[in-house]
Amino acid sequence: MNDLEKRLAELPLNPSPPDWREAILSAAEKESPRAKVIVFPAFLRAHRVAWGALAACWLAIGFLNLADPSHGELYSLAIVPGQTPSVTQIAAYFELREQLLRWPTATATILKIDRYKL
Amino acid sequence: MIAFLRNLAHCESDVRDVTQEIFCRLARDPALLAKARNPRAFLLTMAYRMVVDMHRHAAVRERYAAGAVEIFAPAATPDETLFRESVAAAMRELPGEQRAVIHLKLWEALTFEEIAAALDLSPNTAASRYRYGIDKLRTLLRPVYEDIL
Repeated sequence: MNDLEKRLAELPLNPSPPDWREAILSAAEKESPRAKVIVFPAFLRAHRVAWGALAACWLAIGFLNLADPSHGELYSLAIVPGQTPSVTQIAAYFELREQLLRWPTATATILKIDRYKL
Repeated sequence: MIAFLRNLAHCESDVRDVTQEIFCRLARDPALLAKARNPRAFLLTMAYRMVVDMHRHAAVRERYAAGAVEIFAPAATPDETLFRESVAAAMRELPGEQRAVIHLKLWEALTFEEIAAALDLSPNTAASRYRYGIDKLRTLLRPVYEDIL
């Protein structure tokens, strides 16, 4: 480099206006695909693995619950207090009672329940 | 990069528009910069291409009347102010290709190989553009430069 080139290279360049940085970065942030993730609350982002595991557990519980074929049937067999039970409900009750009577320790309890309910 | 854009663009709003567009493009596709071997050269290349594209639009020429950008920082003395203004005016006299090479060489301290890669030229072309540009600057600045030194 000769003298003129050195002299030119030493000239300080004008710095960018201070307000540009914030404006440009905020415009770029809006374009970023990551910006959409920011809508999640901070506490969800802080422990993503833990929250993910919890969500997976709930999904598994929900799936097992729906996949159980007896679930709906049992719910429909529930006897509502104050209403006369249907024939199906009575039949289901006796079937369940028979099964429980085969379980030795439960016999006494069942007989007590019979005394109150029937 | 902003200083480089100031040397190439014709008004401050163009500099800002191009800078913002570069950042938005990178935000949309961060892999662009991640894949670059030399991120600084990559940004300068992006800036150069966008300014060239911008100049192709006829509408932008109307903005030339808005006044030139301040390339250099304000000086403390009148002599230095005069010199910086003269350099800025002389730079505007140069063709865009020479101005780009001179800026990258003098104020970004890139080698001719790096300049060639950034501007998509051969190193020899970059070097010859630099020499032609410096010769023109010397001619244009001779009165001021000799007064100051």
